[in-house]
Amino acid sequence: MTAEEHVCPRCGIRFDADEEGVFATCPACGSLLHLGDEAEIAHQRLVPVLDEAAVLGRLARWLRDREVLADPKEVATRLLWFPFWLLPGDALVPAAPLLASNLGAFRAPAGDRVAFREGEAGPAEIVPASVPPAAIVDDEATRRAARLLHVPFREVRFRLWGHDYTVWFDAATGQALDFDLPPTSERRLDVTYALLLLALFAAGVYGVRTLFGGTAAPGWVGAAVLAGAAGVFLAVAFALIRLTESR
Amino acid sequence: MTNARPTALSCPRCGGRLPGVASSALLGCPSCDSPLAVLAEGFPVRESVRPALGGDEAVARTRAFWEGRKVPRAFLAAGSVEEPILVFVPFHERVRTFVLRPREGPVFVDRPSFAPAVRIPGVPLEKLDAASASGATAREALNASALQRRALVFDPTEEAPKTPAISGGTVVEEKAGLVWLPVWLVRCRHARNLYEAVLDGTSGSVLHARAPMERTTLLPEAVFFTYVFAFVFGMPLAWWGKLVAFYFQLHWLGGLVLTVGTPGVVFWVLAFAWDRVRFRYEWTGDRLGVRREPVNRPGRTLPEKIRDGFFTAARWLNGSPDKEEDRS
Repeated sequence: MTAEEHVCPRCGIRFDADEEGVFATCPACGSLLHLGDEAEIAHQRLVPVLDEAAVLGRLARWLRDREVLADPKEVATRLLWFPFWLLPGDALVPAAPLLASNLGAFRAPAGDRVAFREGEAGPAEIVPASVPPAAIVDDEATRRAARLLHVPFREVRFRLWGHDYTVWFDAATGQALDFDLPPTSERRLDVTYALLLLALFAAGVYGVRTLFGGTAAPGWVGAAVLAGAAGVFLAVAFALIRLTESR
Repeated sequence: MTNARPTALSCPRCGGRLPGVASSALLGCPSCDSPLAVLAEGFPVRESVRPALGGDEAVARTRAFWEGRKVPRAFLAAGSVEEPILVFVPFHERVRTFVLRPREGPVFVDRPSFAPAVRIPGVPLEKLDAASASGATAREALNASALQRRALVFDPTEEAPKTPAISGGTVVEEKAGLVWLPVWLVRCRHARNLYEAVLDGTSGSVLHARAPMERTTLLPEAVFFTYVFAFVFGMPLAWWGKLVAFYFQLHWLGGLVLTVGTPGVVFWVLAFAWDRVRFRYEWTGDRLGVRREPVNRPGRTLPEKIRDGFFTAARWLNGSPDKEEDRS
């Protein structure tokens, strides 16, 4: 048998097998592999169901949920496959380095699972598995039960307020994995802040006019209004900011 | 990932069979537990540098970095800081030995160069002093499996850059390798937003960090600007009349321009003040210093629009040079 490239169905490592016969040993995880036609069916992948238009809708909803009210610019999407180790109990552990900020909340997406064959993934990027099960679980039984699941993600890159952001939406159920969060708009705080400034401005105009004899009240009342309004504004705005930060 | 051909390995000490280990240059013999280095011809030497900093120290360094800055008191408080993430990032290392002035007697000089072998969004690896970090602690042969147990280990995906020619010297030897350097990522959530700091895992220096700015800092400015405009709008109209008369006493055309221009400037300053107090700012820092940057400010806001409006109006009054240039 000549050297051929194979993919280990257990850990996802590619290797050349030049051993005689139909069996080979994975150089990464040591699994004994059968090199027949069914050699790769132990890999599974989820069938993507979210198309690009649906993902853009998800992006809009995700931004709205985060109270990001600006429109994203230069939006670009692509499909990629990311490997996860599926452990007993449907626990998912990345099989390649992943720096998503909300990885702990990511759950194994529901959906149709089929055998993974690289050729059927289309032109999408396939992130190779590089973390063997031995690196993530100590228990031998759990390690043996681990199966590689390739999850399709729609990567969305966009620009907002001069910064670039990346979000992955799993193309089976639409869960988001974010890498950097765009800042919340806090429209309510802005509106309240604007109203406070308007009130301060009105008090300021009254205070100035009184100070220069433009009203019937004596000048000291104008000075008192100016000082009092500034104090009230500072106290209310301070409390408002603290309230927003505690949410 | 390389397509390395699997080879049957046996321990040189006890003769026992060795399991292959992907992306690894070091493995332990399962029979006699001897530490074995695996060197393959044609493959660059793969080494890693042990971090000198623990996770708690990384958090402490991040807190120290922001100490004295106007950041919210709750920022980086216990409970808001996530578990620090240790990341091993590959760098291409090339050491070129060259001879200087060969006629006066050869002087051999080593010149190492480093370049990131991977790109990670949000982690500015170009700011890492790889030469210092690679020699900060003892190097070890890369044992990816062992590192992956406590850290994220990135595979090299970027090609090594071409090294420039050295003038006045002849390169006599060139060694290429890959070295994995430790980097700490400290993340903190504050007011629904995420802030991170990237630290050199050997020296603890901050490569890049972001933090929210204490928003109450801008409140005194807001009061000041509001009262300035209260003064402008609240002062008696007669004062404005006197000001206009004064302008026209100086020069009739200048008076006309100043009469129109003064409210315009006042309006622009008002817009500037509103622009300054309405946006939120954050601190962005690295080894060079800390800067204040707006986080939700569009590229052009009211002050820029008013300023551009002034210029457009001035061009229109003078006859547009653009159109004249187009005609010519």
